[in-house]
Amino acid sequence: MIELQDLRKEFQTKTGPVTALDGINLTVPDAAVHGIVGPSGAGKSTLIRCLTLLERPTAGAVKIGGENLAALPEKQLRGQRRRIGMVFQHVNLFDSRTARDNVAYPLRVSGLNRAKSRARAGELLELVGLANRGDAYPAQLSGGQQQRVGIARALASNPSVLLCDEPSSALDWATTRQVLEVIKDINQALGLTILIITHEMAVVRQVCDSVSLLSKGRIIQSGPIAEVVTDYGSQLARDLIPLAVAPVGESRAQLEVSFSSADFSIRQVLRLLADLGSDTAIEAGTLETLAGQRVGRFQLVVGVAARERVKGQLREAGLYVAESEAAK
Amino acid sequence: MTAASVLAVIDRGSYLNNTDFTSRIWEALGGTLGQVAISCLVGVIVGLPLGLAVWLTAPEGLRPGRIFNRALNLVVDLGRAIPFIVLMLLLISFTRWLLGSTVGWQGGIPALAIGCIPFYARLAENAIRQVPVGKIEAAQMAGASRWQITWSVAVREALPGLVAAATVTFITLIGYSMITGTIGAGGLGDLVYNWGYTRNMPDIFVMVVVIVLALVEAVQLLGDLAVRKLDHSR
Repeated sequence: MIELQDLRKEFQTKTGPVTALDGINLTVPDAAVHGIVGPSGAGKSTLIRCLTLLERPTAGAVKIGGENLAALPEKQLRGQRRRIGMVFQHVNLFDSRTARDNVAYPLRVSGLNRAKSRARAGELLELVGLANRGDAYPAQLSGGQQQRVGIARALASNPSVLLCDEPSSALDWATTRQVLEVIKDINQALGLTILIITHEMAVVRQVCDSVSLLSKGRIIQSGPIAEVVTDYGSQLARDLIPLAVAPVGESRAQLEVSFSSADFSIRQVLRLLADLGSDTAIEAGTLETLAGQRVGRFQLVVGVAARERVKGQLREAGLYVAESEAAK
Repeated sequence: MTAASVLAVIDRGSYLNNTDFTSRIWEALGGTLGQVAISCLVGVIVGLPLGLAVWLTAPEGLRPGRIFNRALNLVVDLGRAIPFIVLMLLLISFTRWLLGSTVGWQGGIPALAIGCIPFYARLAENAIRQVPVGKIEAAQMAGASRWQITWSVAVREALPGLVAAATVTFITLIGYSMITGTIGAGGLGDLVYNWGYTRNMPDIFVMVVVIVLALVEAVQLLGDLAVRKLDHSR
């Protein structure tokens, strides 16, 4: 379990103090996969650096399995860090060591002998699907393979928590999917608690059970995927179910409709949307399966005269309706 | 000694017949190589920890210490600022006390070694600074101690750079070792100064330049080869 309590971080700069984290409270239960998203500059990197104590928070607690790491002196921190596996954006493998020796490194520094470390490293490489590449140097591996070695190394000290800092931002989408697949498998096979920092909603859609939105050093929305996507109109719901926004003419209004299979029959909603009248067109739509339910978001273009009638009709049916930003 | 006199000797073809040269060249070459090899070894053995200490105590280092870092930087820069000829002359009495005399190829070692230490320290610090911070952090996350990070990550990852720096140091030392010949410390410098210059034998000048050039090329080649062998990052 990861618990962050009122976590704060200030940096002293020439122009005065800058608040990077402004009171973060977050609990990630055991064996959950939690995503943290937000625009660049929101404090995502600072948050993960404070979590690993590579950066000392200014105030607040970082609890991993109940122990507050922020209160520990450097010496004890070293032992506790072994309970956290860290997957880096830039992988950070040691170029001078083979894949197997990279994975064995955390075991070697903990005092395990060479033969046992290498044997365990072999098992971990197998877990990430690279059993036959143990003798390759990082430079001989593809980006996706390197990141999988990075994941295996993070798992070597048998951590209870895995932190992933933009693990896929340097990878193409097909490779990203493979890496995320590995992360998901590990979560299920080992029951690890996983925190993923990312700016890609697709990463959240594929692996996360819950998600938090970070903005200007604060968490402004947080919750299980099933909850945030049905918080229609919220930032995370919009980001998780993206719509291509088309420009709209002067005398037309743009409406957005959101619904979930938890409350509605998708078939009935689609029929309703199709029967709204000749003055209404479906411009764009997304139907995603997230957290075991289908969630839809559709964009309608309506003649100004019919706007209120259509809104009323949709609301009467119990659907969430909002006028799009573009139309306002 | 003029360019014309050098050309005159070429005409006479006395290069390999000059017994003053042929009878001394092997000993002189051995002397220079001995001086340089031992000095370089001392420079690396002492300079590397010094460079590491500068890196460790830097503000963003693993063990920041402002005053200590400034003091170390000052020592390194002061050591490099002293002209070699001044260092050599200053060290004459030290060398006499240490070795009994400054005559013989060993006489050049103290000045060369001491001059080499800050030089290599700075090059080593530069090489180690090139190791990405992320790798150091990865080692920290693996639970490594400062000592382990320093040797098993920083030095190891920087090894190609450290070897390249040692190559540069070795070649620079060949140049400086010529100067020690003027205080009687044997080697090729002695041959050039006491035979080529004092006894006006321009052929010795030319031959020594050719030999040193070959030496530099050979060392560079070996150094590059070692770097390529050690560098797995490409």
